[in-house]
Formats: sequence, structure tokens, C-alpha cells
Amino acid sequence: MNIFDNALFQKSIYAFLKYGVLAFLILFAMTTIFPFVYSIVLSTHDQEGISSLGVSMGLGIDLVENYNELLQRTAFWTGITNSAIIAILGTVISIFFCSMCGYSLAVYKFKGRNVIFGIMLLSMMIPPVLSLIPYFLIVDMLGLMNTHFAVWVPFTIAPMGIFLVRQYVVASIPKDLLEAAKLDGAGEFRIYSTIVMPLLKPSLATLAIIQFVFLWNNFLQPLVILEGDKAVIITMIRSMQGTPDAPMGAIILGSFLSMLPLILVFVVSSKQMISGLTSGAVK
Amino acid sequence: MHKLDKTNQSSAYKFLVPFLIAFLLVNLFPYLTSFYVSFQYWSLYTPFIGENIEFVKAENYLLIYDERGFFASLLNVLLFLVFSVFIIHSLALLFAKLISISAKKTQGIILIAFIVPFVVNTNATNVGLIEMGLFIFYDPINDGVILKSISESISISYQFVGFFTLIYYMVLKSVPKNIIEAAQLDGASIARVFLSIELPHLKRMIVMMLVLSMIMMMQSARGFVDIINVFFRVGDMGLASAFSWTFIFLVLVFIMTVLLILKYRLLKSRLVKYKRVNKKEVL
Repeated sequence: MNIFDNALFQKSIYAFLKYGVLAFLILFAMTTIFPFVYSIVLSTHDQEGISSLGVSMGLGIDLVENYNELLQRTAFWTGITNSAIIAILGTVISIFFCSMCGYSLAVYKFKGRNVIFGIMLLSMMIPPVLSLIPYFLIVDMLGLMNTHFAVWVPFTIAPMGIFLVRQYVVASIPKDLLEAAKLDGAGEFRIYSTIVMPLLKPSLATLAIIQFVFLWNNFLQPLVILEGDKAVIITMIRSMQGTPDAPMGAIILGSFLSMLPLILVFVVSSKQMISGLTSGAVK
Repeated sequence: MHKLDKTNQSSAYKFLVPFLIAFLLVNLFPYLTSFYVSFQYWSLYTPFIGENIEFVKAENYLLIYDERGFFASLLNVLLFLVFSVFIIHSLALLFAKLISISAKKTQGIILIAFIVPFVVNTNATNVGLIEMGLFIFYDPINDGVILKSISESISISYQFVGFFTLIYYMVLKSVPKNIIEAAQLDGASIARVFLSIELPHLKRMIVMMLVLSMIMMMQSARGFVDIINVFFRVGDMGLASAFSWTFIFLVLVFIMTVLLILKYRLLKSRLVKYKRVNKKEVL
């Protein structure tokens, strides 16, 4: 008789699982939220307070001072606006493009499909640093230096997003449905826009979150291309860190405020994202 | 039927037009340029025009072998890939199983907390966490490349574990309930159900997720960026490109070998079945 099959053993295992596992999971979950909480705490202290704080969670009194310092050192709200423009435009367009490509790769059988899919996977593996210089040259050549356009357009085609959509279409959109629409006389594009798009909603929500976060956090390209009042918030805060008498309180407050939109997007859409992934992404 | 196939083909390409244009501009052209530059001498601080570029044959490729950091960083990246993929998948499977057997009410909240590091991975939280992880496990002066890779993979895996946990969790949910119930009626324990029913069910997803995680890890491998930075500071783009291409080639060969082995080991039975049913079906 196997010990795993013993009834008493099973019962005690269940009791252990109920509380022990839950505690363990909650502990791990706490570590993910801790940095945010801690940055709130840190942003209320002044320079000396931060260096002497250690890991205590006591709130300071210098929040307003830090905020004023932040506004003095950077054009904070301009940066936020620029980041928002780039992230929103890029996300909306990329939802459209990625779903088109993913749908096409999943549904049609055409010459070169596997080649395109393979190239896509390969291009995902090449680190982005490699193409930075040629990217700079192209942008310069097209006369797009210091424009937001040059920052978000290249990322509207995200191989990762195409992969995600393709996987979702393969797993959860029945081919019979598409064929039925075709028999009723719908054109290819109409099938995509009126039948497939609504069904893709959950995976597109996920894609939108990933894209928004990526574009918001994107550091390399804006650093190379944007300057002055076109710069995004991430590069602004980073350049603040580089100065000799860097005001840590203001920097931490700035990075926390720049994280807020991401946290908001996540809190609003996390249910949708998870339910989307759980509802039928797997065959 | 033949006619339908043809319309299919052309509309498939129409859907792929945005991808192809973006691919040409964002991927193919930059990579070709950097491949061209890898055979030239060109300094970053002079404009990219005729007289500044000097053809030096394969000299750049020969020079990189003298570079002391080359093999160390290659080893670092390979070890980093292996360790981080191992950590991510073993932990994600464990977490997914634990969450799926924990109390139903808290599952959603725990999952949301789990994917926070993946979704909201800003520079602010990330860099801090990675540095912190590095300092805890790694002493840059005394420790060798193996410990460095381990500590890097631990701190980077932390971001990605939640995402894969979510994926595995939803696959676990999709395992047919009646099979599990039948097994439990026959006296199978949780561990037995997991090993003999759920894990085989997950097999296909695991292979797919291995590909995905390797791609993600390639993008965030730090050994690569560290050495590239040196070249960037010196400004010798020819050497930098030659270095990156050699590096990427070697790492891709490694990944492809691993994937081929995995594919044929894990998916053999499935492939044979597919061949019998439909020769054109692909993974």
C-alpha cells in the first residue's frame, strides 16, 4: 500500500494544504507588492531620512517638499503626457496589426507561412541592442528625429503579440464558424472584423496590457531619439538619477508616480486579463 | 475548393502586409546593416558615410577571440538561460498546482498579485530588485561566472515566474474533471493525479512555454549587454557588430539544439499521430 493512498495521510495533507500553502502563497504574493508600498514610504522622506531608514515602514513628512523638488528639476507632467501619447497610440494600433497578423498565421494555409513564423520567432530572440544603431540611422534618414512617431511605430508589430493572438485563434476559434460566415457570403476582411475580433477580446486585452506596459517602460529608443520637451518620463527620471546631488526622495516619488498609470491599467484590467486567459486559450 | 484556397492565399498576404513592412524596416534592414558594418571599421562618432567606413575583411571576427570577456560572457549567458528556464518552469508548475488546490476564494487575488512583477516591471522596481538579488547571492570580486549566472537568473526569474504560473494554472484548469474524479475514486492522491494525469496533459504547453521563456530570457540576458556596452563606449561599431553576430549565432545554435531534442523527446508520440491523420498539420 502506497503511503500517498492512505486515507489519514490524505486528510492531514489536505489540512496542511489549506493553511500552509495559502500562507506560503500569500507570502510570495506579498513580495510582489512590497516594492510599491516601500516606494510610497520612501517618497515621504528627505535625503537623510532615506539613507537612515533601513527597512522600517514609518512615514515621513516631506512628501510635498519632494513633489516641489521633482517639479523644479524636471518637466514632470510634460513627460507623463508624452509617455501617455506614445503608449496609447502604440497600443491601439498594435492591437489592430497584431491581431491581423496572428489571425492570418493561424487560419490560412499559404506558401511561406512556416517561414514567416520562423523568422518571427528568430527576430524575437535577437536582443534589441543590436538594432539600435541602424534604427537610429533609419530615423535620421527619414527625418523623424525627436518625434513621437518614430518611437511607437516600430513596436506596433510585436512578434510576441502576434504569437499570442495566433495561439489564441488556433485554440479557441472554431473553423466551422469561419466557414459558415464564408458560406453566408462574408468577405475575408469582414469575417475578421465582425466575427473574429469580438471573439479575440480576451487575448487582445492581454496584448493591450503587455504593449502598454512595454511602450510606457521603453527606455532605449526614447533615450536615443527624444530630447527636450518631447522626452518621456522614464528617461527624465533616469537623467535625474545621473546628477551629482540627486534628490532621492524626489526620484522615488517620480518613479512611483510614473508607475501609477501602469498600476491603474493593471488593476482595472487584471480580472479581464486573467479570465481571458483562463476561458479558452488552451485546447 | 481549389478556388477558395487561392482567395485564401491572397487575403492571407493582405493581412500580413503591416507585419512585412515593419519587418523590413525594423528588423531586416537594421540587421543587414549591422551585418555589413561587422566587416568594416566605423566609429560611432563619425557620420555613417563612405569615407568614414573602411573595409577590414573578417578582422573584427578574429579580434573578438582575443577579447578576454568573450568566452566568459558566452558561458554566462548560456548558464543564465539554462538556470533561469529551469527555475521559472519548476517554480511555475509548483505554484500553479499549489494555487489550484488552495482555497477557491483567494485564487484570483493571489494570481493577480503573482503577475504584478511581470506586468508592472518598471525600471524603478526592477533595477532595484535585480541589484538587491545580485548583492545577496553574489560577490562580484570573489565569485566566478557560475555564481554570477545563478544570481542573475534568480533575480530575473522572479519577474517571469508569475506569468508562467498563470499559464500553467489555466492549463491545469482545462484538464477534464471527470478523468481526475475517476482517478480519485480509484484512490489516487494529489501527487499521483499531478504526476500521471495533469503533467502529461501539460506536456505540449510546457514545450511551447519553454520556447517562449527562452525568447524572453534572451532579451533580458545581462552578460550580453554588459560586453556590448564596452564597445559602445569605445565607439568601434564594427567590432561591436561582429561580436553580437558571433554571440547570437552561438546562442541560437545552443537553443535550437535544445529545442530539437525536446521536440523529438517529448512530442514524438504526438508527431507520429499527427502524421497519420494529416500530413500537413504543423506544431
